Amino acid sequence: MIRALLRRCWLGTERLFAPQVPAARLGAFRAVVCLIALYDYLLWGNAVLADAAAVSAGTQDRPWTPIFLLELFGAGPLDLEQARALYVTGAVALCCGALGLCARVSCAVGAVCFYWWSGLGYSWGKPHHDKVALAITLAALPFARVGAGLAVDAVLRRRWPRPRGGARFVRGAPIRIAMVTLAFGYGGAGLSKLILGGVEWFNGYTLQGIMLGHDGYLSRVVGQSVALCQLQSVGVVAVQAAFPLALISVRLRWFFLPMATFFHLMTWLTMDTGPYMRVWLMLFAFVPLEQVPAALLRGLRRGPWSRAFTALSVAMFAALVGGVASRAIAWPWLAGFGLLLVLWFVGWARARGWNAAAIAGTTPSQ
Amino acid sequence: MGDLASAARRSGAAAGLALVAFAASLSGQARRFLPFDGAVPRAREQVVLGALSVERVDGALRLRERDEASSRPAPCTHPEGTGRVHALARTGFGQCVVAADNGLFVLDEAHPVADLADLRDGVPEGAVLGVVPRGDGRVFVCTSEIFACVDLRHGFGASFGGPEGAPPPPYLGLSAVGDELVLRTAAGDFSYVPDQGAPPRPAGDRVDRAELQVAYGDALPLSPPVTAAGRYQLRARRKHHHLLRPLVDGALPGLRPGYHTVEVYALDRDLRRREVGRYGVYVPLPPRFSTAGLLAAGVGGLVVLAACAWPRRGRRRVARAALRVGVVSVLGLQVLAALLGYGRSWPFMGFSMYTETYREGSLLYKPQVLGLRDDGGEVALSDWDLGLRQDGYWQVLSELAYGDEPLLQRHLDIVRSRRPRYRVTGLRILDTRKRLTVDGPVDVAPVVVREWRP
Repeated sequence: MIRALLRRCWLGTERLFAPQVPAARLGAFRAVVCLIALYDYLLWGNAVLADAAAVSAGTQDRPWTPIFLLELFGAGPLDLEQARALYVTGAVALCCGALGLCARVSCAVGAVCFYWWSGLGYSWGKPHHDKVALAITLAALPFARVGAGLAVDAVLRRRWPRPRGGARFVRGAPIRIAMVTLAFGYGGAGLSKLILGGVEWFNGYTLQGIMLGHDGYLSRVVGQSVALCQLQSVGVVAVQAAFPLALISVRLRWFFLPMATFFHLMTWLTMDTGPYMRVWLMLFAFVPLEQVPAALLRGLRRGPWSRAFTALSVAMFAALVGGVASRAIAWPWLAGFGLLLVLWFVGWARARGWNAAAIAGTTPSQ
Repeated sequence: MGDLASAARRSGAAAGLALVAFAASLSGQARRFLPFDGAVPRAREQVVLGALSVERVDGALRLRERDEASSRPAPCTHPEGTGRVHALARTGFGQCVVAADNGLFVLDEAHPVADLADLRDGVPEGAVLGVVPRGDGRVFVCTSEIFACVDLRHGFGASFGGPEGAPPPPYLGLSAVGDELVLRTAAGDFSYVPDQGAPPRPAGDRVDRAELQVAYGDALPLSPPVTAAGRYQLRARRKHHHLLRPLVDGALPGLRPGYHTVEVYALDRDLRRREVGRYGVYVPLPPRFSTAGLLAAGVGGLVVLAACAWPRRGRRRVARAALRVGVVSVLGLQVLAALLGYGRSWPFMGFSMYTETYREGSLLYKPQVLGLRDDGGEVALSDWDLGLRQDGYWQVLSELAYGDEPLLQRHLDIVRSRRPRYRVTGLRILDTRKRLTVDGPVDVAPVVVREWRP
């Protein structure tokens, strides 16, 4: 009886965490994760290299408090030369991972470098919780066939040295792990406010204090009224605690994904937390990415209002991501990347005669 | 024999005299309260802070701008107001301290709202009857029962009692005549001159240094050798924490696993302080969390998990087992981190952030560094302006509040090179404060932790 139950549980775990997904979806997700990781890697570049330079110069006055991971592997502080080597290796590996060149190896090397790099930053300072899902997902990528779709590997496999067929569907474990980690993160944050903060967390002063204590651009406006803060407390905890429902219901994602993104943008404006872009871009784990181009094309073909709405939404999103990313990546690179995406989309749409209906459907198994 | 006896008596008397002299030198501060026969000035009725005038009118606190004909009642964040105001004083940092029935209040020109001063321990309770500033952030205060020195920069105080030779209460008020404090008591007036003699210092004028280790959960005993004329107290801070905590029975409790730099300061009764000890303290993880133990537990857990998860039939059993073990491990570690909640276990972290609660009257703090100009102007400086690499405000505050002059000079030079138009010639390190009230948040006078000019 127990053995049968256990067996069913394990099979259920397999079905839940390793569903068949289109190879293009996993490939696109790999690219998104690697690019977010690259952004984070570059963002921490100055801080980690400055610490390494201080180590080399013997002027480091910040205490080295290693995170457990580095302690486990006995990794100590790096000097400037070693840090530069790690920096270049990680950045190249994540670029290759984004392109899907030797995808699994690149992702594995990128993940090791990412953990090491983040560990250095956190060991010289304090750990942050804005890239938990990113780190766990990045580590999961090498264990799936992430180069089977939307990757240089896939192109090469199809054409060189001789034409071969590629898999249309692969196991999407990294996507599911990302989804569950995000749901766990939001749910845990909401529940801990309920359990640790209790009823008093909803008195309005608490959210007001949290907002004004961090003093963002809109703290004064949004946090002025205690009654309004009370209302927002309920909303914040409700969205966070109920977010795991997005795992179950595809329809509810239309509510939870925008609300979670809105939540992070508001914390940026009211709490000076920073944009938290690593988290809200990771929410793409809940989106069937291979269907995004077709959805955009439908939006652009449906009529003037729909076209304007779609174009405006994409432009705003691109401006937001580009604006945030420009803190770590120079504008010309971002503009070049954006142009490449646009050109790819135009080429893709032209190949289909600008007809979204002509696109073969795929079955999302999320 | 008689000579021997008289010699012994003489030497005994000499030893006794020496002992008395030694004791007198040790308790030298105890003799500095002297009867005062002069005229005692009345408490100040007005303090001018730039264009703002703070006034005491019939026991009420009032404000008047330079161009205003009449004064207005001063707003107060205390639900019951300040109560009757007994004295006003201007600190060396341009703030007004108000001694009132409901406590010690503070306000300044930019924050013309009376707010309770930020005091944590060693501070007398009850109506404050008098206040006299020392110009460096310290003030002397008295209630009807206690005469005390209070350090507004760090939020603690020290009361004077019998061992310090304080006259018996009840006290009626406190005034200043030149450098002298005049404590008015029911039995007469007494004068006291603070800051006499040398402050406590490390024995041999060398700060005691050592590498220490203490078990997690134990308090760290600290007893650096100190040379002091009179009683002194020891307080300690850990690097990155700017508050000086009193030692509990000569020990510092509450150190978490990891490496800490602990600085110990000796303070005399006038709260003049000197660093007397600096220790590197290692608190190892409890045995159950040791690296080897965790590794062994982790490997053992994985083996057991793999045995449970191994598919009995079907294809690709290794891959399926790896998936099962991987998924359960990742989820299990996330749950464990959520229960334990400790940042060093990144990327498995808990959710205790933002679970603190605030209520009406709570205070919010945010450190800030101001650049000071020679013309009296100020400009807010960012981390980049100062060349700081810390990723937390408190670390910045701590580093600048306790940093030596060369360190501050280095940061000032960076400001001058990066922001030449600011024309900054000094630094003021603040802990800004917001008070949550039923009418909304109110910016109140900051704690001035340090002001420095080369």
